[in-house]
Amino acid sequence: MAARREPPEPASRNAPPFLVAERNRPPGRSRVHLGDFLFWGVCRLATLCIIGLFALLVVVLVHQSWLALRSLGISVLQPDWDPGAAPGHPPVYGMLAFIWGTLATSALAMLLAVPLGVGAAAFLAEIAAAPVRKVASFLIEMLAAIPSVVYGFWGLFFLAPTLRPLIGWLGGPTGNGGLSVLTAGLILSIMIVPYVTAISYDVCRAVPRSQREGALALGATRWQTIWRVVLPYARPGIVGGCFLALGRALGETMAVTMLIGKDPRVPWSVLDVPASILSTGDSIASAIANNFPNAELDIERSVLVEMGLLLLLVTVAVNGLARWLIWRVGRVRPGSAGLRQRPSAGRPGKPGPAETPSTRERLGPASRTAQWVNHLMTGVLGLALVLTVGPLFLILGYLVYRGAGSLSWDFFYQLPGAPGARGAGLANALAGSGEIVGLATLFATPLGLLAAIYLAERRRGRLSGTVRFIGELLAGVPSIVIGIFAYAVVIQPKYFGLDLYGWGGVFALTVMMIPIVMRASEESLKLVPQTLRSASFALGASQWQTVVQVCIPAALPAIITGVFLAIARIAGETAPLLLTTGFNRYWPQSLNDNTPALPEYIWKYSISPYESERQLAWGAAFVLLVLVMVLNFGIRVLTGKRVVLASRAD
Amino acid sequence: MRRKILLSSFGLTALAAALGAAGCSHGTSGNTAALRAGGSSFIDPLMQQWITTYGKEKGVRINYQPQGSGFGVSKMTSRDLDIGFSDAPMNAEQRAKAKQEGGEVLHVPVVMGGVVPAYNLPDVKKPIVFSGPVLADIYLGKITKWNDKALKDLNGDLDLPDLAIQVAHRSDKSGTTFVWTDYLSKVSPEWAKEVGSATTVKWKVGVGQEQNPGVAGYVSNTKGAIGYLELIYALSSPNIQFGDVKNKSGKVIRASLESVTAAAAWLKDVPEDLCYSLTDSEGPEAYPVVGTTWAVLFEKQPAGKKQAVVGFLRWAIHQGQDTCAELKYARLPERIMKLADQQLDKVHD
Repeated sequence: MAARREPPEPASRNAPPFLVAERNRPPGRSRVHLGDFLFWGVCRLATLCIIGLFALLVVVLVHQSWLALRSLGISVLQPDWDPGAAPGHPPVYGMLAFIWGTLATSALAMLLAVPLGVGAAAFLAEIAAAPVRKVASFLIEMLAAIPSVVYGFWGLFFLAPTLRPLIGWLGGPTGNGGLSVLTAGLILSIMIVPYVTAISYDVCRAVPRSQREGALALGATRWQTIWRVVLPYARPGIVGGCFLALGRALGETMAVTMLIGKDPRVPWSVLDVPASILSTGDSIASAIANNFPNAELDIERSVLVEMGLLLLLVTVAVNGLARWLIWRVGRVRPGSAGLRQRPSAGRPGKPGPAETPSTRERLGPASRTAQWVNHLMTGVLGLALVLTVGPLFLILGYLVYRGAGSLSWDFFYQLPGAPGARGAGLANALAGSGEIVGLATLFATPLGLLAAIYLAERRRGRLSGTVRFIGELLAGVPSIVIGIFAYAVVIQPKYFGLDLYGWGGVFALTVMMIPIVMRASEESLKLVPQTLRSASFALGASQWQTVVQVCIPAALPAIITGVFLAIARIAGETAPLLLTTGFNRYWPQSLNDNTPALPEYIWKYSISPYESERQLAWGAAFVLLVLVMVLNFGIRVLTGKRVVLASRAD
Repeated sequence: MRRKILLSSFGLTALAAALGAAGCSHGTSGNTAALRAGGSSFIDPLMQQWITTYGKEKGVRINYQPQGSGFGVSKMTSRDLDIGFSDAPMNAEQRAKAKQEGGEVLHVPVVMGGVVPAYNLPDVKKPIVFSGPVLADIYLGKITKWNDKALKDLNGDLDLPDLAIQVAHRSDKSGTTFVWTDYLSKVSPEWAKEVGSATTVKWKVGVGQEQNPGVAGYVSNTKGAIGYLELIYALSSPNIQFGDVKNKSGKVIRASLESVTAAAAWLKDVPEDLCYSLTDSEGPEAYPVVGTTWAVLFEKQPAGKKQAVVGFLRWAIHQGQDTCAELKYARLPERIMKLADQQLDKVHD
């Protein structure tokens, strides 16, 4: 895409280029330098902003949890959570139950997602024919794009009732309507499997062709090649991808809170673990989302922030480790242009399976068992792929079935009205969401873009490395933690006595969007051929002229794609809004007031006893899903795949 | 030309933002919320009615956030709300914290309502009879089946299914929970000792759900479920029935306007701060699980707020009471109304 742009032209068309350059140089010199100076200054400022933001996040969380750290100390490591202070029952703030819930759901999710994801990736990379590969990666991207509140909503109405008999059959409590740690773990696994698959696929495709050919030449079956050669070669990258997925699972809020049963419990012994998984629990992120807005006492709030801090540290550590693992294998950093370009060039388009039998025939009969295992495992890998993308159809089908039927014109221009009112709509939530997301985009795009310019043009600097790393960490910070951050920085101080609820939401979404935009823009700018820059410099353009007039226009389609993908990502964000914007049944009149938002209404109305409100929730989930899909795939169709791949942040 | 592309694409992004920002201009004309209220979801259906009527009469816009009583108390204390609504009186710690933030807090009762054991058993046609100890045992996890002997004994010939009881409780800090646990503490010594009464407690069994709608939604979607709900939620939700409860004098009472009001009539001594408890009333016709919703507010209001705050609350405890009956809330008795008025007189700038 980028390469097709015409090379830049100097300002004057009439004079020969060298003359223009000649003429411009002596008098313009000092001004050009000043321009460069200012330009890099601004870009550097943007990068420093991002570092500052991350530092502020850590400082604010530590500061707010200081009370708990100091006065409760290690006593938070106990199983009981009872902030109610019933007479004769002093408040107890133990976070072990939440830690257990977070670890258990994430572990379950990994247990399912890793084999499935890696299996599906291996099938896609090594066995599948090109059309299958194309369709499947499209479906997997769709899975990754569904907002977490929609997953939770679907889980509540489909997964939980489906699992209820199973939980009973396994000997768990039948009394919880299918809500359990297992249910939450299962929905998490559906949510993270696209990440595992996408990264594993990339890494598998990056395995040199010679490795495969060598194995096949030695008479290995396709399965043996995958198992003995491809996967071991790709292992560090796959492990890194798994850690990234783990980071996501640990911080996931909405889907978990809707399905885990919100009832903090800890297993008392190892023997208790299975029972505990089948019964209800609560996770750290879920506890923060539910308790933070109604924590009356400073100490309770402080303990909740402390949990947020813990979550932040763990996810940062996990993400850091993941990045390091992936980075160590060099070119297999996810999202790096080098890798993403490789698949098309690295392998011949010839479908694999066709060559296997002939190879085998030539080398004499492989052992019968090996062939049999080969067939079996091909089936198993194919099944992994089916299981990976299968939930998408369940989710889409169920949502379209329930959601499209619930939509009426009222939905788009009426207010929700009193509970159970007829002819209600969510127009206010649509407007509120548009306002918050729009403003977040307006703030995050320039900041992310400027930082990306710095990163792309000064790739090797120490600052660049740091900012790139911080950006990746920031992208991995759980959204609920960003909610706490936004509340503490924007709302709690009550600047000028104002209630900046809406602005708190804007701030939270901006913080979430910056790393996505930055990453996408950097990758897009990197795709601009170096020759374009050289040509521009040769014509006497200064650095900033080159960037603004050559690089950005060339990378623009990809950058815009990235911005729209970022919009799609944050439009469905719910957790940070729960802590900031509040709930409002009217039109959003000012951002200094509670601002309604669509995802919040999905969450709120999903549990409503009123059929009319549940209908609205179905409608809202459907609208949100359509919006996200249109943003994701409309753009993709418009701009081409390469661009989207470059801007697909994980 | 290139610059044009650049400009137009930034324009595109700006357009997206402007589109959203334009949403707010759609709003009905008028100022931003004059009053910020929130808390109890128990009172939400009535509050929506009040807000609509009051808004039409006085032109005051009120946004009510039904996020639970705990939310009402905590956000009133942090001055994020002008009036918090709670079904549980503030406890000592909360009052201490509030005192530090903005001085004395007033409790103004605004309405009363019954909390009912709501369940989802489509095949049981007649209301099930519960007693305090049985409810306590269900919530302690000692009774796990609908055809448990204790339930059968209370219900005589009623055909109770062999089905697991799916217990639901509130996950947020809830006044309804306070009323429920306050009642269970009075009727079950074991409950008082093991769990106690508060807006949130250490539950022995069950799943947590947000607010009355959450519990109602769970019960109405789950066969065999039980949850405690404010009467109006039990009445207005599909698939939900609610049981009768045996009161202190051994009579089986169904929650209704009359039986809730009867509980208030038997209230003997009212404490000065109006933080009374109506559960497990002595009255022979009184429903035993009855709660009050209090408006909680600072005695000292910021300049300019007093008028609006007091105006709305006075309207609510007088004219507002007329809408109670149709939504199945019980009116405040005359003497409580007088005492509430005296509380409102204390509000100053």
